[in-house]
Amino acid sequence: MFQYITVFDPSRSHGEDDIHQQLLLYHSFIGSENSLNDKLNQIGVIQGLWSLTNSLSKEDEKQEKVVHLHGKILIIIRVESRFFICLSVSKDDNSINHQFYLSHLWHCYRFFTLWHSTFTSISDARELTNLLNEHFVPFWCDLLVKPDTIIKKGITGLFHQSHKMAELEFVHCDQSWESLINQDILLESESYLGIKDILIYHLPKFEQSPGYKTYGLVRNFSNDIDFVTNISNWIYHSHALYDNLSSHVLASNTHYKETPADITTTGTSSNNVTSQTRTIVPALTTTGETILHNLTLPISLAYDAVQEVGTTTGISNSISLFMDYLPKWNPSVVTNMFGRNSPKEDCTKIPPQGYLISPLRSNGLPGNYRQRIVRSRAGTPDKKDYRCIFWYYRDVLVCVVSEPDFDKIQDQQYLEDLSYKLSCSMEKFYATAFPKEKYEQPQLKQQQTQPLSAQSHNKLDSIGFALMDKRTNQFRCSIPSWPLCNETKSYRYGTFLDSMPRDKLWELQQELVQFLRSLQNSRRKKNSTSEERLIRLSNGLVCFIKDCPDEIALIVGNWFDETSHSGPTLVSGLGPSAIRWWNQRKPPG
Amino acid sequence: MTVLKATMDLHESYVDDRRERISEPLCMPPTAAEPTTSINLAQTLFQPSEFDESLEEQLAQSISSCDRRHPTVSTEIPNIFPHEHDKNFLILTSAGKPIYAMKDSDSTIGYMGVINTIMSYFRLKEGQDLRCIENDDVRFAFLDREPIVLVAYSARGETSNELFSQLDFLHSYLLSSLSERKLSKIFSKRQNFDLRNFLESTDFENLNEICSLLCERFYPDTLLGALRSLSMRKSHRAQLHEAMSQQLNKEAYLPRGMLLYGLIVAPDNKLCSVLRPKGHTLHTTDLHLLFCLIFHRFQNLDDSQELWVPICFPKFNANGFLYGYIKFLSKGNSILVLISAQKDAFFNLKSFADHLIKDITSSGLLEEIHKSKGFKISDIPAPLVHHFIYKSKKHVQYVMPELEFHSDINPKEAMELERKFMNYYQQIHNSVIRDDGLSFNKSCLNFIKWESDADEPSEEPIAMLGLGWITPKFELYLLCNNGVEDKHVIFESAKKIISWCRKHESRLFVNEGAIF
Repeated sequence: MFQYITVFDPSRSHGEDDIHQQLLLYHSFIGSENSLNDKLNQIGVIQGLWSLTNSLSKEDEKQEKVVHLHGKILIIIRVESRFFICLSVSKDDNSINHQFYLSHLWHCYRFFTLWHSTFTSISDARELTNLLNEHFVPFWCDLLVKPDTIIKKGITGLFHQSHKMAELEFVHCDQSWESLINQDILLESESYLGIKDILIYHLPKFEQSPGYKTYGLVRNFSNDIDFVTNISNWIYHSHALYDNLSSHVLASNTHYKETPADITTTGTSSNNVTSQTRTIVPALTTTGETILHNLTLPISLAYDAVQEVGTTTGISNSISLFMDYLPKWNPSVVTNMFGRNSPKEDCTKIPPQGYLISPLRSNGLPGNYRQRIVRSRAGTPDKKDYRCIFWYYRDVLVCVVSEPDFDKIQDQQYLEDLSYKLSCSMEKFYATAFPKEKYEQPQLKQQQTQPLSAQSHNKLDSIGFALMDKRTNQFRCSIPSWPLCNETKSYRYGTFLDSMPRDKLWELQQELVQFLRSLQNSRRKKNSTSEERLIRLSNGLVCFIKDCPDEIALIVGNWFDETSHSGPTLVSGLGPSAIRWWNQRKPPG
Repeated sequence: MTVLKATMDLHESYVDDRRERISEPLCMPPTAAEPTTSINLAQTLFQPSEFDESLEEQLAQSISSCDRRHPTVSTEIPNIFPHEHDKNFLILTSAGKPIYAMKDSDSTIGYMGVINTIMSYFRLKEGQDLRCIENDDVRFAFLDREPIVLVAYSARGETSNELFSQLDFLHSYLLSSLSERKLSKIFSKRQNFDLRNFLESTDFENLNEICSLLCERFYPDTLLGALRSLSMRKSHRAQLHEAMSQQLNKEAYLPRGMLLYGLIVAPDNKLCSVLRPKGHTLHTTDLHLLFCLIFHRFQNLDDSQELWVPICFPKFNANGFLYGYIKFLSKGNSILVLISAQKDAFFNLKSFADHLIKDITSSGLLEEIHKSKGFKISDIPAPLVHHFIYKSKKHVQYVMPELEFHSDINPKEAMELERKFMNYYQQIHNSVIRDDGLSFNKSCLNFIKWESDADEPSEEPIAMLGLGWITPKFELYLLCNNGVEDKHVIFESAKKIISWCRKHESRLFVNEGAIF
């Protein structure tokens, strides 16, 4: 798997003597001891490769390169026009296409800019190195331990410049959940202009999802915040990685540690809650003393101290100890968020909900537990930091983004009100998105009021689709890469792919990556000519794929099932439901 | 770009015929073509009856076609590919000395130095060879064949596998000229030997020729890994093979084993007939090389001259030379090639050739070879298809209709036309194979469609449809006329082409050849 990751900035060195100053981060995953000279040689060759290929291809804008050696792959990206990030991946028994690693390298960098800032704006090299150490190394170590993360995200993870949107069909009612949020929160006098935006995510567990297309950002309300893509992708990544968006995860205080016990748990995957605790325990015993020391630290220093020392020594893993000192409003929920195992229980009890990251948290905790600061337009003159707090309701995660000077967000009473208003809205959300009788008994043909859904929902969708809108950076996708368990199957949102076994789904995803790559390699004049393909393989897969200046679209189906191929256009090769989707793919307006 | 008026006139009836045939699917029934009634899609979904589906599809089609001002089909094939010079081949020694560059510039030598440094770094420090670099649209491929290193870079969207096979072709040429044994002998003595001094000017000319064939011409041979075959009547081909076998049996003074292979090749590298020992065939790359050399290097010969050349067939035996007797059967036309392993077999082969030529001339077979002009797309009942390539995997050969040029087309335009076709076929081919050269699945059918609005109102909008079809038995690549929209028409045409090719298999392909 991964061999090393390195970050360097050639402009920091001015001659032979200070050449080592280029190197900002070098981490070896295989524990090999390289001398400084070896490392400098490596980054020298990377620079050589970069300038050679750029001068021969006569263009300087290309910011990513993939170098194939016989046994390994070097993935190199250049950011902010002078920092190079290079990841080396060995090819042995590695079934994950390098395109995924390339996009995750971009993800990794983008998450860094989201929480910290651009590399350029951190002028002190040592500070930058420390931050890189805290951010880049754990990111890849986690992926090394849990390669499932990439598999779970599937082709969604390939598009680092766009974020996945959830597609839910809301039954019409007098007052929608959206208008509740708009009226009671965003436009309400107390928080007007103070709360910048509210991002609503629907994030069911991968196995229990009613269909992959319902996964992701349901909507946000403002259109002038630039970090929606990054924060969304960060949330999806964390969710795929930890399976469970607890406060610790959202505070970036959880990481996997490779321990003997861990190898077996990651092998069997899915059962993540246990693997997480198991990994934490060994870290505790070794660093127990340091924790006690940390507890005595002044509160104001807590954040910095834990962050600084944290990831490098593994203390941050043990933050769970602090949980014992927290005021809890609903103890069962804190430890097992999204613990919605039986939907029936939900209707009788109050659904699990509450703040995950909010100023209601004890002051003794690191600042990340109280609010997260997001950098907007980092590296530009009009940069701005927004505050984010997180709240959840069943499978919905809400991120409230507020202006930096909106102090009301610290107020306990205000937060409790906010929580109440959000839960009112979310109640409506669930009532309209998953109307009870249809959700559980889809076969019943009594929905005269909804002829459209009645017709289309008495069987699973016969196509899976993915659509990347290049103008809005929104990505829609219903092709799962993780099988659903049968109980949660929804005829409303599911596709025929949902019940396929995991290895088949991953095979399909890999195949789609190949198609996408082949299409992107196409040589036509890309800014004026669109290209579409309809591929039929002998194993039954039929795939329509289109690349044009506005969008990338992909539809998959099974041509064994499809009997009519009567239409003349390529997309009609997938049958009527594909045509229907194709014609309605763009929302009106 | 321009298809000849002359050919248009010649085949007017055929063109008209086609226009008629296509008029039906292209002109929409008036009801469906007017989306003004605004059929609500949701309404049509109430009952999923056959009628509704077809209506819906018609609607979908009408939406896509109603904005076209000229719903006509044109035999002019637009070029949708950028024109820049975007490809190069570099050859250097393992010590970093330059040998050859397809496009030479002042800085090329410097680049070769950097390439050499980088490659040796990976080889020495990491113990791994550099294979390729993906740099967005541009792709680099590195082939290390100690003591020679070959590098290609291209922005034409080739797969790495395709670039490797092109590099292998260039490397095979060097071996065919020098032989591996000689190369390693030279470099074992002096590692930084400058091979440029050793190669002759014809070698560089040949390299230029091969590069131009790979980059500028319509030469699908390396892309498909197959030979083009000359189509001729089954009985004539059988007679030809019979004549070759008989001649071999008659020649008492030709000791057994002296003649290894005999070939008759028509212009444009088309294989006509083969004489070969049982259980042995020559590698396709070797034959590509041989044909390239003959038609490039010896094109000025006339039928009174004959040649005796040493040539190394790198895939047959990279260490030794074989000897080729080459004779043009009449000026500028087909060629007889006889290959022997023995240096002194010239006179024996010559008399074999003389007898054979006399034989086939008197029986009129030679005339048949010269008369055979291939076939045209109009010979096949495949409406709306502009051009196609059909490869039979069993024979490792392919056929395609002759390109139809204007008679007064200048060479530059002809070259551009060839390159355009090559680009289209490269794209279609690459849409059914993976980067490593394997097909997506053991059989795979792919429609591919390019669309673009016209740059200027006078021009026609681009709507090109192609098809790539790979099965264990054949490969078909097909390009339609501009403006064809209906994939079913094309699929039907493709099936007709396949059944036509299968039916005429023995006419289109050289099957077993004459075996001794």
